[in-house]
Amino acid sequence: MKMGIKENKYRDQKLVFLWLLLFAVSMACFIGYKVYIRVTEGTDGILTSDMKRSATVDGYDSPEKVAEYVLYWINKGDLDMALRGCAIEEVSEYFSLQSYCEIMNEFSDIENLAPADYDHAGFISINKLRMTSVYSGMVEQCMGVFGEDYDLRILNIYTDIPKNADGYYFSDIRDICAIVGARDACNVVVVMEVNGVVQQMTVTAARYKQNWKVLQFSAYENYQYEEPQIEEVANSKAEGELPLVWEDMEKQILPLNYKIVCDNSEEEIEKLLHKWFIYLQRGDMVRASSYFDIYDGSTDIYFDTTFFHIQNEIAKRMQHVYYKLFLYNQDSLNWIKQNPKEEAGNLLRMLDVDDMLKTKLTSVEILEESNGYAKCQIQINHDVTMSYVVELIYRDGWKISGIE
Amino acid sequence: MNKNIKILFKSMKNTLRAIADFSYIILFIALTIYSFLNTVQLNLDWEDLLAASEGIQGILLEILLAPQLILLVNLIIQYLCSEEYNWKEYVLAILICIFSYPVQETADGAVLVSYVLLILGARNFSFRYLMRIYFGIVASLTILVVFASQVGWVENLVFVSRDGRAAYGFVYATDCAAHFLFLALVYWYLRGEGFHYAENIIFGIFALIACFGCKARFSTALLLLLIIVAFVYRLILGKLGKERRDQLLSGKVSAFFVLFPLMANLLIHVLSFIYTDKWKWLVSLDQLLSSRLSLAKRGLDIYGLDLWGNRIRMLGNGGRTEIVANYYFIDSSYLQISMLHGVILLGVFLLLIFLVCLKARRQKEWIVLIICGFIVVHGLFEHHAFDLAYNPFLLMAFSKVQPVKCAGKSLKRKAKKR
Repeated sequence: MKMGIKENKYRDQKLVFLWLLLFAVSMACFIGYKVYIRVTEGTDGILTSDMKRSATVDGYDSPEKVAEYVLYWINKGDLDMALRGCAIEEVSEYFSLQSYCEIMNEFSDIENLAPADYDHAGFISINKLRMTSVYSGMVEQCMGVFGEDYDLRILNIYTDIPKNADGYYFSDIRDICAIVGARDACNVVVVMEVNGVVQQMTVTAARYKQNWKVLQFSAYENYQYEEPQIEEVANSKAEGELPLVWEDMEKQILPLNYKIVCDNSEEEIEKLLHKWFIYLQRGDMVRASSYFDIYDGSTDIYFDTTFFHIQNEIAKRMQHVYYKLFLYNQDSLNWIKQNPKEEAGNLLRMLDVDDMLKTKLTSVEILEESNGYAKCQIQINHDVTMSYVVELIYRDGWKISGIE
Repeated sequence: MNKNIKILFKSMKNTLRAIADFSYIILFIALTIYSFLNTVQLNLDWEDLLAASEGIQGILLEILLAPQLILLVNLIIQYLCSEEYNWKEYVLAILICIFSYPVQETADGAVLVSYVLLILGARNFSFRYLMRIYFGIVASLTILVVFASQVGWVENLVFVSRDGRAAYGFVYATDCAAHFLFLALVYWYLRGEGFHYAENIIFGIFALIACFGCKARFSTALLLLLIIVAFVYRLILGKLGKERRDQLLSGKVSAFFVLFPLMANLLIHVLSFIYTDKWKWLVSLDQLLSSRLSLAKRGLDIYGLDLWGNRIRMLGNGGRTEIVANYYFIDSSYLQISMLHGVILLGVFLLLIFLVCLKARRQKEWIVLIICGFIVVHGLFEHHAFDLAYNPFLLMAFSKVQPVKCAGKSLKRKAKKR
């Protein structure tokens, strides 16, 4: 009897061991699968040495601090650091196209940011690429206004909130917050002395959760004004204490908030288009953009506004691919464009791209292929089948040079 | 004085345990009914109902829709006030809790986490006792729903595919057939060794309805297989006797059943992953399985597998009779759990089903072991294997399994004759 129990126990142990072994094989398969995906899909964008600098602060709890942070890095000519103080991720993730249409009473197709109303990863990713370009442009314009080798002394930084704010003020702030999804917004004025001349710079800061970011480089009244608002002033407020110690600003690093698309290509056109389509379905716009002809083969690449502008154009093209597929009904689209305020809700319903999973790439037809250039027609089926003409160029593998 | 404190402490502990056990049974009944009603074509929006409810009704509904916290607190009390302490069981329960609790953030994750917590809390109860309660609820609700669908109280959806397939009050025809299959499995378990050949007629009726009414091929095939298996099992028991039967089943046969869930899981994942329309045999298999492989492959390509799952919006045919243009549904239980709720939760469920099988093997509960085989096969192509509304057998992983004292009327009669 005792022998039997022992034998049973041994048999059970053997079985448990076998099960654990099989379970380990399953887990190994899962890890292998993850590695396979990583190898075949590559990395999610490029990380430059500047971008690798790790954050020392999570964010700033006051608008003055973030304004000083951005100004410091503009003064240092560090685009990467200055961008980290801008609301790239925040606007991308919280931009409400519905509120925009209702408040601004306009809808300008892909000229507007993509709706983040339904948290679709693809639209948010498109917005990030686009907002990086917008903020990079603004930061470099600021750098351009100040010029090179200048003496900067910050005299004062303060929030410009009217003492007896009327209903219009609160209404404006509420509208801005509704569009960009912020909890609060205000103007921040920076008074500074540049080469002995007193100048005043106004930025709009917005609060997301507990932290503030720079929303734009002009007062909130100039919404979507893409030029920095820097002007000479005769009289300024008395010198005040700065929210952060200017000399210690070097140690202040905010988290990275933007991406740089890497270079990708395929030896076969069909394979390229199928992979690109899967990224499109997934909403992984950084990887989808990597198949575009961004890098023209030159070795010296500067990740500056010019580069970010190219990323912006690619993001817009991909937004166009989505819009063509989902806003295919021209009558409805025209009606929405004529009545954006009333039709904002319908527009959003039409742009609910969460079911991209059911979308199919039904055909890839090569129309032309010669001397490293190819033109093909692809058909994507969702509710209806839409045709796109894709132009490709061969540069160490096929890349997309255009899509219409 | 010390003795009095000890007595007081013990009585407090007993009272607490009794309260926790009582609340467990109440929650078990409530969640069984709730999960079952979710498979019925009631056109009921629980969220709307919750918004419209006030006072006690509102609180009760809120508990029903998100019972995880109450279940967790109840579970802690149950374990702390338990009479039997088994450190291995405790460590396992804690690990399962830690790994499965974050899944509640995923869509429908709360339902799965609640089921896992119910399984862990079943340790103070006899499995048979829980199954009796479960069978009472589900059998009466199934009869009620089918009857209600025939008299028009509940919508009887008839789908155009396969020349009309009825759902008999459930959201989809295959769901109805799956209910019949699982009900038959629970019935077989409860009857145990007292199961008579003639009782196969009940399974036959289920199979007929599943075949000609629901036109669900897979559940019908499994119901027919169940009839054969139940018949053969009864035959072996009658011809060979208990000891010989135990000898026959306790070796490699039962070991295979214990490892079968993991093998099935690997098989469906690998098949879906390697699927390509360049391989004809895979395409044929996919056609036979109503595009289940190609749909899973598409999901894997786009979203892949993750530790904590992905947000995938599925659109199936259930709940409406018009053809869905953008159909996307992952039918396999294993793939659905791994893709939607993550590999971690799948691992938890595989561990639970392993514990069930191991316990069944140790206690010589051969019927449970065979039933697990059915559930595993069904889970390959249907999404009910880890759903309380269909499969209550996972409760056995932590509950008490006692040898059946009463073997049933037919065996008693046989003994008398001898």
